[in-house]
Amino acid sequence: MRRSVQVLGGIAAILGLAAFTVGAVTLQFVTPVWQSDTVDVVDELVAEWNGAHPDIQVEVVSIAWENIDDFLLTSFRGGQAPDLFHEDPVVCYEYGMMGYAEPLNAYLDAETLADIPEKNWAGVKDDDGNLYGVPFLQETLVLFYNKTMFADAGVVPPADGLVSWAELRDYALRLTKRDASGQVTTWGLLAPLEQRLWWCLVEQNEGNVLVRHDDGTWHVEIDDAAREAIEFYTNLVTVDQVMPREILSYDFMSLLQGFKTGKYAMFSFGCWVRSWIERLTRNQLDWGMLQVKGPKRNVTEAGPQALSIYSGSKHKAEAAQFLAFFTNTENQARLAMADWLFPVRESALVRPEFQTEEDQWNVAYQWLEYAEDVKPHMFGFFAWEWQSFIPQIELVILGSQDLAAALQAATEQGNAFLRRMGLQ
Amino acid sequence: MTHADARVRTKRSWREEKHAIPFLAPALVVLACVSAYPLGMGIWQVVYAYKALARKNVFTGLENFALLFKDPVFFRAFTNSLVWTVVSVAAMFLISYVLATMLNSRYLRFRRFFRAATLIPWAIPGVVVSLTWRYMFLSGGPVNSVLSAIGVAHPPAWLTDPQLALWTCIIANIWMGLPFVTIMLLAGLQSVEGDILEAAAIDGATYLQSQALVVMPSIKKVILIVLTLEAIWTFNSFDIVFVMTKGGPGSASMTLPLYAYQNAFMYYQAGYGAAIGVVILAVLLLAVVFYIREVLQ
Repeated sequence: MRRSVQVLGGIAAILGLAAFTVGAVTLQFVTPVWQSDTVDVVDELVAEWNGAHPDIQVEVVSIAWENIDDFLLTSFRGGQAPDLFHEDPVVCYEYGMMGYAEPLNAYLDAETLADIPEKNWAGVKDDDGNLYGVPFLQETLVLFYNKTMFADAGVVPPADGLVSWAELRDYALRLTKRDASGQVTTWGLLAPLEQRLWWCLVEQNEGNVLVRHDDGTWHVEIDDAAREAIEFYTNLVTVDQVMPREILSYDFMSLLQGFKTGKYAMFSFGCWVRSWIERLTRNQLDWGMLQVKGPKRNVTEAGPQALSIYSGSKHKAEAAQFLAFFTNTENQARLAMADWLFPVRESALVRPEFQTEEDQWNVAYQWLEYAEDVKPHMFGFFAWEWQSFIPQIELVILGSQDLAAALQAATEQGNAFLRRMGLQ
Repeated sequence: MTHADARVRTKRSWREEKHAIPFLAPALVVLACVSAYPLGMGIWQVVYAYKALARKNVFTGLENFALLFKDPVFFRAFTNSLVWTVVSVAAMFLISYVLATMLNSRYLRFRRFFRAATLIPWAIPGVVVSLTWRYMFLSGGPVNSVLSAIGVAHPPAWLTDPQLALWTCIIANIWMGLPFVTIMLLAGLQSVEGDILEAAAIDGATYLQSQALVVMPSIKKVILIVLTLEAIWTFNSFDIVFVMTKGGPGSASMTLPLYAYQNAFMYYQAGYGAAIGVVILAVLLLAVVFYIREVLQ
């Protein structure tokens, strides 16, 4: 009898466990986080969530930034996409326009809506006010500089770290060194094309490249202010010869090694690269950060990131719960700190750890007021940029084409591309 | 054999072969699912285009093909693909033939070791090969370091110079394709009887004459198979250019498969990408028809 009770009890326990497992929802969460500290925090947060929510389990799928777009697009088209995904806000907006990302307005509480600045919401919003993602991380695009090389060249940057275009050019000219054969041994500046310093320059000069007309159509209309900004950037390579052609195709680790060994006196990148400089130089290099000051306004690229929910997910409400947990004040601060970025929520941003002198958080922080997504909020922006605009700028940098001809071609090919995209 | 005989034979063979259909059916269903269905869907997509302001896929007929012929990047990619294929396959064949001849020589010491070593590039995934070659050809990479060390004042920018980018990718592609071609040619060379070569030598043929007039005709079928397959694979190849240059700078090293991929999976232009895919299919069908007619029959 006693044995029978034990057996029945065992069976009941197994059945109960099975019922519990069958009843649990498993959400797939795709993220391109790659820095080891951030990966650890994501894993910790997911473990905390899974521990507290046995009925809603989250499974992390890691994909590289280089592959996440095609992974998601093919997954959406195949109808087998992950429930949650981590992307650039403009991509979340594009997926929303195509019906792949769920409008999140109904899932967002008033506190979240109020805690994130409007300029960040703008990146994930369509004309009807649908929000296709929750912005949660941002940065400032800065110029890293080698203090020793600056001192040796007699260059004294301003105390507030804000340098004008003329000062930037002057510093780069004075820091560029050549050997007896004329070969450059130190480049004054390296501003990789894909890091979009040039887009910041266009915005700083209040220039226009992509213009939206009143009827909602988009057009490539490059005005003189934009032309002046682009010319300033390309001249650093072609005329001043203070920036190498490597801005077209660089290797991240080679760039860092080059900064460490004095091959580059300055380079432009997101402020999160502080972690890599610290790791690589182990306090053996005296370095600092500068910010380019615009002739008309101060703008720096925010490089924002957002979380979104797949419209075809069978568990949108559960996904929204996890999204709210993942991006709440506490967790957003943990993620930002691990990734050497800044949280978007104002309640997280006011935390003292983001303004400490240690690791120069305070320097990057002071320029956050200028941080915005410099990319025009247009469907297919990346496609337009890399198919019709960047190739022309590359030809100018390589000296194969003059700027006027390149911008003319960029205008014609760009408008043809926008027509093909159904944006005109 | 008269026409009547042929008809009887055809009927008889059909009566015999139709019994095979139930046995072939499972394989045919799988083939239809994994090959015919995606092919059909791809071709179907050609007549649609996503229009952003309308926020939907719109039937556009053959507009995607019409746009192709106005697109300078498409023409650049098409020309690049032809150069990429012809140069790669020709170089692979010439280098592999020399290597295979050496590996077939009875005078080569450690012949087994070298034969095994030849296969190494084939065992490395394409993406790894591409990343390695990309690293080698970076402006501060090992290739330029060697050139600087031997006194070249201004080593070339292999990956960012529009005149060089495609050729740099071709070098990596040749390296990756060598093992297959070499091993296939080696197999062919091993089937050539030594007596024939001795007879040619007695008749006064030089080494090169023996190779050109005796050995190559003897392994003609192997050569045709290898060249055709390698041409198809090379034309379709994607990973090397994608990793090394992404088709740049500008469109200097753009190839058709990469351009199709970019349009379909990066630019939200699945229909346009599919149209490029159809062009690739048409080009490859020519090679496939040749392969079936000349090689398999």
